[in-house]
Amino acid sequence: MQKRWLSLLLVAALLCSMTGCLQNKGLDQYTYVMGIGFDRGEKLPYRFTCMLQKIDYESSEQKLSGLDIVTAEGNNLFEAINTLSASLPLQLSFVRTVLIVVEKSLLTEDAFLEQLINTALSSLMIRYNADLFVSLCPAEEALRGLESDLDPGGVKIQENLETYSKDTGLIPLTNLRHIEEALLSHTHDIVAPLCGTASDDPGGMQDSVGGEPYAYLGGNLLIETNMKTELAGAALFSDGALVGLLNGQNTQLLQMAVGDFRRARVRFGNVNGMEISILLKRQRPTVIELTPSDPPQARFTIALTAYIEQPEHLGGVTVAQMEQWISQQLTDRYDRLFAACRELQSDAFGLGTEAVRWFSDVESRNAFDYKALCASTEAVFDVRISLSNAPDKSVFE
Amino acid sequence: MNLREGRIGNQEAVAVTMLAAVLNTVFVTEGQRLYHSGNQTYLSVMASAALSLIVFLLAARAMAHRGLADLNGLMNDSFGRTVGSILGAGIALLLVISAAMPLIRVLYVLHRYIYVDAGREVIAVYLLAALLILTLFGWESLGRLAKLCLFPTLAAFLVVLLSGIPDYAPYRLYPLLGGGTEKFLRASLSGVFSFLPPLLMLLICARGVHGPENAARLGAIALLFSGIFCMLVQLCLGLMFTTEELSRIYSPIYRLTMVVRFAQSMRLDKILLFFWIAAALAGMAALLYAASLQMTRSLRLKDVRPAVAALTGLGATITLFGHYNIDWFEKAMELLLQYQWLGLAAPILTASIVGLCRRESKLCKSVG
Repeated sequence: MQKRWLSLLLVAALLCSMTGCLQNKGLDQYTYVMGIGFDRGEKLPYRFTCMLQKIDYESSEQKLSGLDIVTAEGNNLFEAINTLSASLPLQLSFVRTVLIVVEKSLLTEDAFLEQLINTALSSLMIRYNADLFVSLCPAEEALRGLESDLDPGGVKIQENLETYSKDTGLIPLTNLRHIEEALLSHTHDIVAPLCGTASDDPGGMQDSVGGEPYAYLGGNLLIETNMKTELAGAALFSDGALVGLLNGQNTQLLQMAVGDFRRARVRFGNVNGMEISILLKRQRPTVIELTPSDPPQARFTIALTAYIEQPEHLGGVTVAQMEQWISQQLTDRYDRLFAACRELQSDAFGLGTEAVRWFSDVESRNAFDYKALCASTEAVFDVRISLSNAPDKSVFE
Repeated sequence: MNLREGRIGNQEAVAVTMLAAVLNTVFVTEGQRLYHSGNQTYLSVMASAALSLIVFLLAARAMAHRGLADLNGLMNDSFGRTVGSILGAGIALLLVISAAMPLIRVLYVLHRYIYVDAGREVIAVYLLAALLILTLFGWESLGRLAKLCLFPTLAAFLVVLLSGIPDYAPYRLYPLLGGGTEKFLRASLSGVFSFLPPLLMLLICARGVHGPENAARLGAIALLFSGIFCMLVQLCLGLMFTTEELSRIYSPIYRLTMVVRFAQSMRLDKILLFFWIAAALAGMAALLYAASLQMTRSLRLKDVRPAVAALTGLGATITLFGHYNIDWFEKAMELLLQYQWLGLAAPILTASIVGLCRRESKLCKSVG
C-alpha cells in the first residue's frame, strides 16, 4: 500500500514537471497571414504586404470576417515582420499562408526565388503548397483586390484557384514545392500564374507569343467585379528568372499539353465566316517522346475531346472535316508557342524531365546542358481531336 | 525472476515486429549518404529485408537445432559463456541504437514543426517517460499494444501515399538505380540495421512467442509484409521528390504530408503524425525491452527493470545527441550505419553456423 502511494506521488511529481511543451497563448492571440506580397520599396529595398485573415472570436462559433492588409518596408522579410509585430496587437502566424504574390520586376533577378525558398520560408513554416503568383501590378494592389463583401477565407481562395485552373486552363498552378524542385534539380523551369488589378488600358498588353487580338492577361480583362484582382495568363521562367509572359489563350495550350488540365473553352476564328467556341477536354495524358538526336526531336501526342458550343451555326461541315480543322488550328498555335518558349530558353514544356531518362548516373545527368536542349529541340505536335456527338453539343449530320 | 516477458500470440508478435521494422525503415532511410548518387532505396529495402531474413532464419534454425530457448543461449552455446555474454551485451547496445535512430527523427519533427518554442531536451523528457513506462510494462503489454496500433499506423501511411497519386511523376526516379551495383550493395547492407533488430527481438523473446520455430515463422511473415510496405513507401517518396530534394530533406515521409494538397487542406499532417509517433513509441519500446532482456541475461541478472531503466535512458540520450551536431557523434553514427552488419549480423551468423555444425539437441533431453 505504501509502495503504491509512493509510486503515485512520484508519477504526480513527474507530470507536474512536464509542462515545458505547454504554451499559454490562445488562438485569438495569433493573426494568420493568408497571403504575402513582395514589391520594391520606396525607402528600403523591399515592401512587404501581409493579407491577414480576420476571425470573429466573439460569436459562439468562430467565423471568418474578411481580410485585412498591412504593409511594411524592410531590407528583408524578417525585418518587416519585426516592424509589423511592433504595431499589431497579435502575433503573426504564417502556418496558413496560401498565396505568395511577387511583383514581376523582382523576378527578373534570378536569385530572388532562391532566397525566398532558402531563407524566409523554411523559418516561417509557410506551407509548401502555398501558391506563387506573378503580379503585373504592385503586389499590394493585387492583394487588396482580393478584398470583397464575399469575405473569402484563404483556404476557399486556394481551392477556387485550383478548380479555376483545371476547369479553364487560363492559369497554371505553381506552389513553393514546385519552385524548390526546379531550383534544386536545374532540369526544367517553372511556369507561374499571372495576376493583376484592372488597368487603364484593358486588353492593351500583349504576351511573348503575340498575335491575339484580345489577350487574356491578369489586370487587362474587360470585366467589372467586386474583386479587383484578375487572374489569367502565365509567367515563363528560365533558371529561376522571369523571361516572358503568356496570355490566357497560350496558357490554355500549355496546360492542355503538360499541365494539370481538365477542360478549357477555346475560341477559334473564322470557320465558314463564324467565330466558334469549343470546349476541349483531356482524353488521356499527353505522351511526350524526346529523342537524343542532333538536333533533339520532341513529339507531343495530345488527345482531346471537343464539344462545339453552337454547332447549328456550322452548315455543310462533316465531323471529320471539323476534327481535322480543329487539330490544324491547335497545331499551328502550338508551333508558335513552342518557338516563343525556345527563343526565351524557357523549358515550359518540361523537356528536361524527359531528358533525365537518358542518363544512367547522377553525374552525367547533372552535367548535361538543359538550356542547350531547350534552345535546339525541334517539336512536332500531334493533336488528336474526337468530336463528341452529345445531343446538346456537337450535331453536324 | 522478474523478466516481464509473458506470452503473446502470433498476431501480436507479427504486429510488434512489423511496427518496429516499418517505423525503423521509413524514418531512418534518408540523407545525403543514401541519395547523393541516385535513388535505389525502393529496391535496396527489399534486399536489406532479404539479407536480414537469411541471418534471422539461420539463427532460429540453429536455436531449434540445439534446443536453445533464446538468442542468449545460442551465443553462450557457440562462443562460451564469457565471450557469449560480451557479444550478447554488444547486441543489446546495438538494439538500443537501432531504437534511437527513428526517435531522432521523431524528435526533430516534433521540435521543428509542432512544439517550436519548446526545447529539444524538454520534448525528449516526454519521449523518455513514455518509453520507460511502456518498456516497463513488458513484452506481453507491448505485443498487445502493437496489435492495436498496427492497422491505424499502416492506414495513416496509406492515406498520405494514396493522396499523393496526382503529384507522382516517374521522371523523379531517374537515373534508375543510379550509383551502380556497389552503391546498391552498400545501401542494402546498411538497411540491414533497420530490419534485423526487430527480428532479433523475436529471438531474444523466443520464450514469449512459443519457441524459436514459431518465432522463425512469425518473423518471416512480418518481414515479408514490412518489406513490401517499406518498398511501397520508398517508391512513393521517390516519385514525389527528386534525389536532390531527398538528399536535403529530414524525414521525407512527414514532408510528404506537407506537400500533398489533400493532406494539407484536411490538416492531416498532424493527425497522421500522431499515429506514427504512437507507433514509433510502441515499436521502439519493444526494441528497448528486447535489448534490456538480452542485457539482463548477458549480465546474469534476475530482474529486467534495472536494465530497462538504464537502456531506455541511454536510448533517450542517444536520441538527444543526434540533434547537437557533434562531429564525433555524427561520424560514429555514419560508421555504425556502414559497418553495423559486422557488429550485428556477423556474430549471429557465426553463432548460427557453429550451432548448426554441432550435434542436434532437444530442449527437453530426458523424455520417456
